[in-house]
Amino acid sequence: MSKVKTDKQGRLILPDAFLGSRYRRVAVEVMMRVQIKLFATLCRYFGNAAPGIPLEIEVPNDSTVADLVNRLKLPRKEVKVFFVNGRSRPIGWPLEPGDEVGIFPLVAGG
Amino acid sequence: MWILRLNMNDRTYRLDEVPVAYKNLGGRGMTSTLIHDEVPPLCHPLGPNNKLVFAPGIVTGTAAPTSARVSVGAKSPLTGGIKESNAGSAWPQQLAFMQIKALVVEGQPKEKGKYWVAYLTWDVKANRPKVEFLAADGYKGKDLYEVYPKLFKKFGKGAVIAGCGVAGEYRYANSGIVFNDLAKRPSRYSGRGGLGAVMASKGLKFIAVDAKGAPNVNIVDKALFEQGCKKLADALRTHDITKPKGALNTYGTAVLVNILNEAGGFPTRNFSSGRFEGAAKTAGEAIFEENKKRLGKELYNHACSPGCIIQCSNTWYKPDGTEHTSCVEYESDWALGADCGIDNLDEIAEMVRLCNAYGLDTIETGTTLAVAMEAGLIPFGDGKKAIRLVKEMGKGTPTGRLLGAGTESAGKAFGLTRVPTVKGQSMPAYEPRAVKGISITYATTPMGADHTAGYTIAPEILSIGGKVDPLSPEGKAALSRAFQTTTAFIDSAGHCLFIAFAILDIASGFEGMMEECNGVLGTNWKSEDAARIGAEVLRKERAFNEAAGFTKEQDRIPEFMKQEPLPPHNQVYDVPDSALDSVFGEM
Repeated sequence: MSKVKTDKQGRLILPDAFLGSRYRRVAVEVMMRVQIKLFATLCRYFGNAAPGIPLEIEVPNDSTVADLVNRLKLPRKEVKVFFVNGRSRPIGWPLEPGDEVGIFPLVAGG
Repeated sequence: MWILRLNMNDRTYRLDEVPVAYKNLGGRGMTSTLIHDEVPPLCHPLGPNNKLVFAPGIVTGTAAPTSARVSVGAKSPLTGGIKESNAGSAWPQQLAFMQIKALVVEGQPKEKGKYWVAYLTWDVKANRPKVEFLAADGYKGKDLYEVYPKLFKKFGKGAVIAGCGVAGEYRYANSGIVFNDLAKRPSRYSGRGGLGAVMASKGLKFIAVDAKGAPNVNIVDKALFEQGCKKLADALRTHDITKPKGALNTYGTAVLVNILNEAGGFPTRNFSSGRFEGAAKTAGEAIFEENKKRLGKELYNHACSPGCIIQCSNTWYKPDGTEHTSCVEYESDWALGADCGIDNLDEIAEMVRLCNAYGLDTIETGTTLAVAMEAGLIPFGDGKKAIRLVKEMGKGTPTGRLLGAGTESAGKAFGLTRVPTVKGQSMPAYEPRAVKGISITYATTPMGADHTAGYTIAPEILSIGGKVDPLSPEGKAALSRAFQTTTAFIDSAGHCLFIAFAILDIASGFEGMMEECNGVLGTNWKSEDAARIGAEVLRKERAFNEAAGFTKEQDRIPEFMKQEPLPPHNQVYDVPDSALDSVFGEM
């Protein structure tokens, strides 16, 4: 079977020959599931999610942490530290299906 | 200004003019210099030749924001090296009002088991401080929560009181020096290193100070000083960490639980893993939410001392809405929590309260309980049995006294290899295998395993003052050195180390701190001088340790960490000895 082609937005491109005359092209978006945990002051932006409890959400294939932040409508200036599978990553880090993402505001202590 | 010396051989005192060489010293710079200059490095820490030095910081007692810090120094019974242990309280401000640069406790009474209270006040007629010694018989062997109200009744509401608890009386290497907070609770600690035992070994139980009538701190250049204060205060009020209703004011230091856990660097069950499944139940967010349920309203944190803008101290309440204890800091929450496999805040808070009552360091207590669990005395995760063991420490039972000797001693007695210490002091709440920069601080600071001495966590985990990968050892030796030197300066200035979160990001705040010092002392320091002055303090501390018998082999991380991969990242400790030796190599 030949490789599935997707466009820039992650939508499947079905070859024309596959469709025939009785069908029309419909865009299909490929989504992936990731686990997201929010903490401290960020919890209130997601329906008062309990800090540290993972929520599974779907994001488009080829999303980055930044895309995730936008999708969750978290204010950019409030998010500061990002972990993907326990590793600290910059906001542009690309996500893979099944990734566990932890997002923190600016916090400190001793 | 004076150096006040208390002679415990005969309960007399002496006021000496400050030598010219000490003119610009304060806080840690003062205590470490004095210990370096006057204490024989090979002396027994609990013998007559050790000295216990209390020093307010350079700007302590002035209007400088968040500057009510005291440094306490001595040769440590826990590490056998030099110790500086730092607390926030009104107490050092009282000394500063009386123009006392350092209070030195010397000698040792011949009468065994006898204790005194030193009462320090301002003699208005003679225009200098004066000291009376009173017998402390009624306060010996008691819970500090019982004793403090009695002391305030005797010395008045204007007094501020420092002391040691039964942990000091039992000469535990795990014993701190307590200071009261603004609500007069015995809850602020110069916790690490066994200084409570040193104080008790000199027959001194409490030092009550009341500076009423005293002239106040002398400021050479008032305009420059005020300019510096304003710049620092602006930085503190602006930065998201330190500002009112900011991260520290809302969640306190326990907000770190979740982020260290997420990073896989949260030491769990005696440093056998970097993640704790119960972490979220003990985190700062959980404390805030549970207090809200129990009180019916949101509770923001309070200041430990007068003049603090940051106000990060929390209070934990019981289900019935009455106060349980203050405060549940990140370190205490971790040591008595995750490191012991305990996830119940009520049990953790009860152990914090007992540590405060007995005069114990919460970090060393938790890490010692964890090795006791490793040895099978009680199971990991059993909060009730852990509470019982802490009570044994307070009663001085044989098991209690074994545990009171600290994590390294207990680990040796139990025949364990997994003993997380450096120079005899137990590691705090950051795992060396997952956070390489802090591991270098643990190994190389003269203090023993100590996180505040060079808090590389800021850039490694929190993205403050930069951003570096915690799992990489690259550039971490230089990072630790930079933090250690700047920290030694902040500890000398008398500011709480938490101002660093703001001034590492806001340069004018850092300038403000230097201008405050220049205003008080008449010096001409620039921001770059902070590291240089801090390095001078570290040089003296290292020289003392070397003369006390320390070599570079004491600047090392325990063997078990080099062999056991730590979940979840499954890394072993792999920072080479050459990197550790490079931190102070040129000094």
